[in-house]
Amino acid sequence: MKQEMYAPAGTPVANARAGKSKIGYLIKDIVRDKWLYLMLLPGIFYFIIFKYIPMYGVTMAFQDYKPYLGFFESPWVGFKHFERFFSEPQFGMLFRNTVILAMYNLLFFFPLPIVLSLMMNELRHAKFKNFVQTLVYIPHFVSWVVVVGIFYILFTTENGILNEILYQITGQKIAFLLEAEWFRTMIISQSIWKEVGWGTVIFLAALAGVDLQQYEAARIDGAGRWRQLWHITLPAIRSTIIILFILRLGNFMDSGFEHIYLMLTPTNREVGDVFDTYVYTIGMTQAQYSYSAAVGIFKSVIGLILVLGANWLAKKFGEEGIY
Amino acid sequence: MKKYSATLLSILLLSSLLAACGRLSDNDKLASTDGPVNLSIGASLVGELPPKNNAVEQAIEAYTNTNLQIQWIPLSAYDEKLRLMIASGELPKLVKLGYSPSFISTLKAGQFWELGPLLKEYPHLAAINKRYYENISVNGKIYGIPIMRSLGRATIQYRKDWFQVLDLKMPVTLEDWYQVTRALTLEDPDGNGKDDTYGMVLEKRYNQDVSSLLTRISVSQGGPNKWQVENGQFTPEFMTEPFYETLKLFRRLYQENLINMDFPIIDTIETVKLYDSGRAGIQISGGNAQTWQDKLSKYDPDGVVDAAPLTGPGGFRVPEEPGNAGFLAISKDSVSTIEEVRKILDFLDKLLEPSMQTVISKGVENRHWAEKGEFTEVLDRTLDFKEVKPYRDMLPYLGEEEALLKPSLQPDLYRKNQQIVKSYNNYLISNPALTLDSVIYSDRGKELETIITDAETRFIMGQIDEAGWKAELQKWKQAGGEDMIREYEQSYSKLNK
Repeated sequence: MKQEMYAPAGTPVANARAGKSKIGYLIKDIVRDKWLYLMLLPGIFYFIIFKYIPMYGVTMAFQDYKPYLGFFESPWVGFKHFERFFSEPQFGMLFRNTVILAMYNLLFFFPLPIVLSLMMNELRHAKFKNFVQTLVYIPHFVSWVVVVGIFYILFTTENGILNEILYQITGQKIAFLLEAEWFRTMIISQSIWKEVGWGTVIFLAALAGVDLQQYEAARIDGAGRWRQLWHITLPAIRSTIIILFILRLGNFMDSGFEHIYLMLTPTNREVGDVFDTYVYTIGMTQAQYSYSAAVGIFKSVIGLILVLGANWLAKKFGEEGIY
Repeated sequence: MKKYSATLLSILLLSSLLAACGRLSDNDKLASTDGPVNLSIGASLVGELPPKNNAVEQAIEAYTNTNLQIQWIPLSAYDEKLRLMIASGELPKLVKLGYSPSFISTLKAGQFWELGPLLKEYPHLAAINKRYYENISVNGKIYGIPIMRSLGRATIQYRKDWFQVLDLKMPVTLEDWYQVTRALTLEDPDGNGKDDTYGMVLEKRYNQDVSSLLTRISVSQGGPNKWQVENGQFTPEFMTEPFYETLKLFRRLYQENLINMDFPIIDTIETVKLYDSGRAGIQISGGNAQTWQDKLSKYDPDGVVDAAPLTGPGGFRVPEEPGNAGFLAISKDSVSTIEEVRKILDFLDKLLEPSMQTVISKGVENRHWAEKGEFTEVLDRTLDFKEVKPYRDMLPYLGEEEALLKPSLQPDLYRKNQQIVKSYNNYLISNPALTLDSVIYSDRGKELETIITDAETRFIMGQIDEAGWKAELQKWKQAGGEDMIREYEQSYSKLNK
């Protein structure tokens, strides 16, 4: 892209420029476009002040942070908190729970917005399509507290609607909210109910960009709906899918604290306790800020590795990647 | 190019999601001269927010020559919010703390002023029973003024009318508890022909903290209050026989559907509703039975509530509670000089004078209460609830008798409940570990507690059997329980040398 704007690569002009000192070239560039660069400044300051400077706080994971001593006087302890974390008996359980939930999410949740947006894309009546779109967006704006509340009313054993029906038919009640084996099913289905519609936004935008002439050409060649879907629609949104997948991997270890926390009960903790809830328990209820920061960093590092790995893979297969 | 637009859109969307950040509001840093002392207070609140500058607050401000800024924080969010405030160093000058692990470690770290040595200069503060101070001391040091409560509060509260219909007696043994709960559940005590009553309903905090139902029943049956100490050896209550028997009682009740199936997830608000609407017959509560009676009368005018002392085969046995609903401590972050600490203590001392105790207890005369011969009478219970109760709950209040106030006119049941609580004084079983020092407890007490409370719930629900329960105890020991026992024993032997 750059070459299009300046000079085609390989021309004598470009070679001469590359030969000159790069800094000199940059300064010249800045002087020429000074007004544009000036407009960039507020954004840069915003990121420096509100994003990069606070990042210094990450160092508390390597300190024994005491609020009254602050960041600068708390003693340094190196990797003590990480060592404790990895040798914690709960570590295995937390890791397993987090990864299983994340896998379920990728497997059962991630493809659904794609399927749903493909289905909506097939709707030809514009008004109906808009209506459906609005309808599926709504659950996204319902807070987790309310979602869990609704599920509670539906699924509880004491006068829960679903259990009453179940009781009429089978004479048995199922403690959906209490049984450990139902926990992941409930979590994933709640996520699907709430977020699947919202997830279609980006895919629909990508679908809107597919060239209609291609469909026309395909129809002339005798391709049916499925053929068109397979050979035109899917390839057209493939890069979007991959990018969203990579970004999703960045949050691989985030299980959605609020959601999980609201659904945790004494009887499902062994499958439901994840890193997010653990960070809360030790950081907020036991005030071990440094230790919980270390757990948080561990999570982020895994996310980063996954993103870099997936991006590298995507590039290897000739896809765009995120950078 | 079009596919880039989708990419760009998705990245934009994501970055906007990331760009959220919360901040805490600043406190005023006012230095006072001769005018009213500025005093910010962090307080917890159960009900509605009291109106700004209400009569009670004005009366307190006028008497103590202060200018109060009270930050009311809902009780349910209080501890979390407070931990955030502590972490960020943005505390009000005077703040309510609870005697729980994370606050204890904060106190040890020296973020609050030690008040112990200063107390003798303040006659009213010094006059408070030592027991109350002992129960909030950390390594023998006192960091706050207790918000006092009765030491033993648990009473059996039950539907007297139902007991008469079914000809039941007060439960004494665990078998009695079973029989009573069974009868109240199955024998249709309300006589409406429907199977719609419970003996007892449990809520999700049924086994938490001082108000744990399991502890209360187990103590009445001869068990220890949280910890048992014998010849310097410590045993947690859940490894004792009476406690295990109590657990088995609830397991049996659950198996036979005699208690609510959803108890691990149901909120107190919901269970209270069941009691108030005449769906359940007996409970052990730290509150006053009159509250239940008042609410019940609205649903069922014929419903009669009564209170009885918690009794076991060995007579009265009641767990001693810490005797406070937290304590007021002075933060070093916002109070930097000892002069200011003295001013705040002076304020607290004044609160204990009879005229202030009257305001805290009853509110302002002729607005909230009026003289009625030997008694005083509450003029408007709603107004009392809205304007007086928040202050009664969070400021040091000795109680009518101790503060030498004129007793207020109360229904018989209210006084009976009070009488029972008072009669407990010689039958209280104290928690020997309450103020002992344990690093494990302050670092990971909550984590360890969760192992046990979860296991209790799963045992009652039949998800684990005796072997499973034993395995959980083992897990607790390995996760740090064993070390905690040892630390308590060391701390105990140090104090009892």
